[in-house]
Amino acid sequence: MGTNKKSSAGSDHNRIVYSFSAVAGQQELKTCLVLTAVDPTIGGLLAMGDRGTGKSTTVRAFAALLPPIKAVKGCPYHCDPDALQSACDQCRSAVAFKTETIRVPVVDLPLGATEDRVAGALDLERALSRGEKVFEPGLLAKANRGYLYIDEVNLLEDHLVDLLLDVAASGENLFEREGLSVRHPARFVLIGSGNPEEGELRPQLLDRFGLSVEVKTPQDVASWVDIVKRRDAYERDPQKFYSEWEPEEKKLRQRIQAGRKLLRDVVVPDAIQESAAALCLALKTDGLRGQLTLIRAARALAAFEKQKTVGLNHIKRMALPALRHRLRRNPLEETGSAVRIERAIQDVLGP
Amino acid sequence: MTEDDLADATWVAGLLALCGPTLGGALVADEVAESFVSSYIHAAGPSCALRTIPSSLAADALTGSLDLAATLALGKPVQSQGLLRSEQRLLLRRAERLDVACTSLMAQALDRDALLLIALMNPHDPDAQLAPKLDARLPFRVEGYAEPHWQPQHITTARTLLAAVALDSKWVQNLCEAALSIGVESPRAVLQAVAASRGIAALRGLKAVDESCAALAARLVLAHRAQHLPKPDQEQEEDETPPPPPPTADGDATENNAAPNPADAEVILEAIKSALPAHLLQMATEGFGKKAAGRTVKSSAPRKAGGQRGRRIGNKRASSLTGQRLDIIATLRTAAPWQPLRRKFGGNDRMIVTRDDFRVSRIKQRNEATAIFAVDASGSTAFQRLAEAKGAVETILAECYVRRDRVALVSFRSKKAEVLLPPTRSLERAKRALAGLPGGGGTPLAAGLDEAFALALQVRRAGGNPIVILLTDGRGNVTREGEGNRVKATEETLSAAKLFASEGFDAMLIDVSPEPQKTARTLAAAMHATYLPMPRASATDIAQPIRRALQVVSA
Repeated sequence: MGTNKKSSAGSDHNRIVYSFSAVAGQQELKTCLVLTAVDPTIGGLLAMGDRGTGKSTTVRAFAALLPPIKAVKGCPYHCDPDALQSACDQCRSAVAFKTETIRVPVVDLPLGATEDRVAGALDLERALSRGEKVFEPGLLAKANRGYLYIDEVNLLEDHLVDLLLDVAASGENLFEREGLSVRHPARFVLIGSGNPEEGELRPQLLDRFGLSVEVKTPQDVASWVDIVKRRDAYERDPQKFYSEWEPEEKKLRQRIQAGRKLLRDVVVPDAIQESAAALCLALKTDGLRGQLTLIRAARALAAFEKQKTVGLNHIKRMALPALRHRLRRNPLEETGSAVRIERAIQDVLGP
Repeated sequence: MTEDDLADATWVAGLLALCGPTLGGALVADEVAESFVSSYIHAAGPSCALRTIPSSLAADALTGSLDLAATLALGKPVQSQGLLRSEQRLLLRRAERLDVACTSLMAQALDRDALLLIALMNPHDPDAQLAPKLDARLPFRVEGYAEPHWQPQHITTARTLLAAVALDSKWVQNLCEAALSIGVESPRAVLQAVAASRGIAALRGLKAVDESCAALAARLVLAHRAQHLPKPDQEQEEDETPPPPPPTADGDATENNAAPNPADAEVILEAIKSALPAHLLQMATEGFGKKAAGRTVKSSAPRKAGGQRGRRIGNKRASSLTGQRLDIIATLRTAAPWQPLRRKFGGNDRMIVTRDDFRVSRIKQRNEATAIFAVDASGSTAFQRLAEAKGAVETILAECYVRRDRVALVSFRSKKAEVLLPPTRSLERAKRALAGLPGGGGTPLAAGLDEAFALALQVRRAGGNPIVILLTDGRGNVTREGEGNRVKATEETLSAAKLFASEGFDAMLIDVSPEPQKTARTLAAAMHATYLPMPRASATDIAQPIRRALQVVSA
């Protein structure tokens, strides 16, 4: 029911968000997040692992790091005024509009959210009081041009996961229900996280995520002290914490922007394409999606590192996050995916 | 009464009164709830009163929604305010029954420091498990009585101190070390302990966290998260060093980056040890290395009839709208024929909809099936069939993984039965449990049946559909007490089977003896179970009929 307005009470609008650069450890997760910003077509990111490792903190911090975006004022989908071809019907047909600068949206999808809440619904308020048939946008609309974060994605109802992945892949939400027919842009990067001990994601959903990382709690005192001290400093004085970390955030922000610009010019030599294909073949990953993602991720990594050509080292470094969740699994296979991939890298690409 | 003699519960009440939502809240045992709440109110004052909510509340109540009845009565939109729109202090009864949507929303609210949650639970009910998400976000466990000690003026004074309380970095170091040494899962707990230690210092009127504050914080926040006893080498050290010096009360916090004093770390460990959960000590004596029981068991929240999730299969009249989705088209369609008549009385041109017109969607939830394998791992079976039984479980498991069913594993051998694997969808856990399935010894069949029965009941209570698959030769020779007495054992087995049948659980008995046994057939009849003799069964042969049964159960 008409609840999407309320969820904004949960956003971090007025709060200073934890700085992304200050997130201790979690290097793989951080790198992968950065790459989804350099090239959003990589697809979503799945972070599975221990509870309480700061996954949500990292994701929220990351969205706050990204450069603010320009949006059409008052548009529920915050359409991009500079790319009206992908805007919603209203913005496209509007003669004139005002623009505003907003933060990249991050929407937290609570577990147990109903389809109405996610995809949108008939606006009951207007329907009942004024007899008008109006679409009330849901969380997918809010997430347009930003990030949709689902903690415990492995426990989410299957039909919702299907819906989300469909929308994430097509970039638009088609709403055909309750006598309404609405189509609106919903381009977002889907980030899912969860603890595999509580249940796993169906294999057919797994490979719809672009990248996948395993998140572990560090087990040494020094890392814990680091985590606790930084977080404590943030909670004591968010303003001071922010100004201490902002220079680093700024640097990273600029690198991401530079990476985005460079991305178009990054070349993937044929030999590298072939190595990627050979690697996927050796690992027997299903379909072409794995190979495509691997190439995209390697290209984004090269761009982020200011290199114009994708090298073998980029492929090697991105193989694990791009392929880890795509291996055909014997459910009780002893060897972990990581080991199998590393072995294949050794065999196919050499040391 | 001096502050040093205060009960832990009293400290927690004071801390929550002082820090409010920034500290999250506490999980409180039912029997001490009243004393805890009054201690808290005594300290916090009436302005911070707790609002009691039932665990059956719908997610709407938290997020807010259109109040349909009021909207229609007034003819203009009336929004019901969601509880979580503003900062809240809530008292939640039967917290383990909270549904997954509310759990998730509350966890989000706790993350943004907008909720103080006192969750009440019965600690003696083994089925009652707080959702892990909330569990991790509530720093304190309260199981003892609290006194009304703190008063609003204490709290006000402490609040003026709180922002300036200094914390020497050695305490962070020590708390982290202590937490790791007892197997605390996440650094989040240490953060909570750090915040608590500041609160304790403020309540004591100190300008900096000292040893006693850190030790108390460790006991209140870290001890109950212990997974094992502190590692032995640390214990040894403890024996060698003299007892820690008495706490010093001066708040001279110089930034100290020197190597932390080992004695300080021990104060914290010592404090933790005094409050370690009882089951850990028991595990230590029995030499178990297991994790705390039931950590990953899902909450026992029952599925609500006519829930909001699943496939829509039609609509029905609604008696009340709580938590259900209004089928707007059906509602309007119902109201339409009455419009001319109603307008005569109501007199304006808007659509007149009354409560009687409400229709809600009927939702069909796919019932989750849980296959409970009860495997006879006694000597008579072990050598021939255990490997096949394992194979069957693995095959079914691979399938459940795709179909989203769950699997549990009970094994019985020698003198007793045990649950090797609580209902799970996790391959990793199943793999581990299976690998560790031992064989040999007598056949305590009655105990095995009892265990499977208890598990099936538990699954049903949690809203699932259990199906029990018993793999045995049906020849029990060990009684419930663990004596080797074939006659008594057979008697007990049959009575257990009848009890089982009385609940009407779906069951299947797979006779794993080399030749079909009459005893097994009798047992199957008593259980009202399907009997399948499988003299030459391979893993896939066993898996076939089970697969069919599962499909029926979850249809």
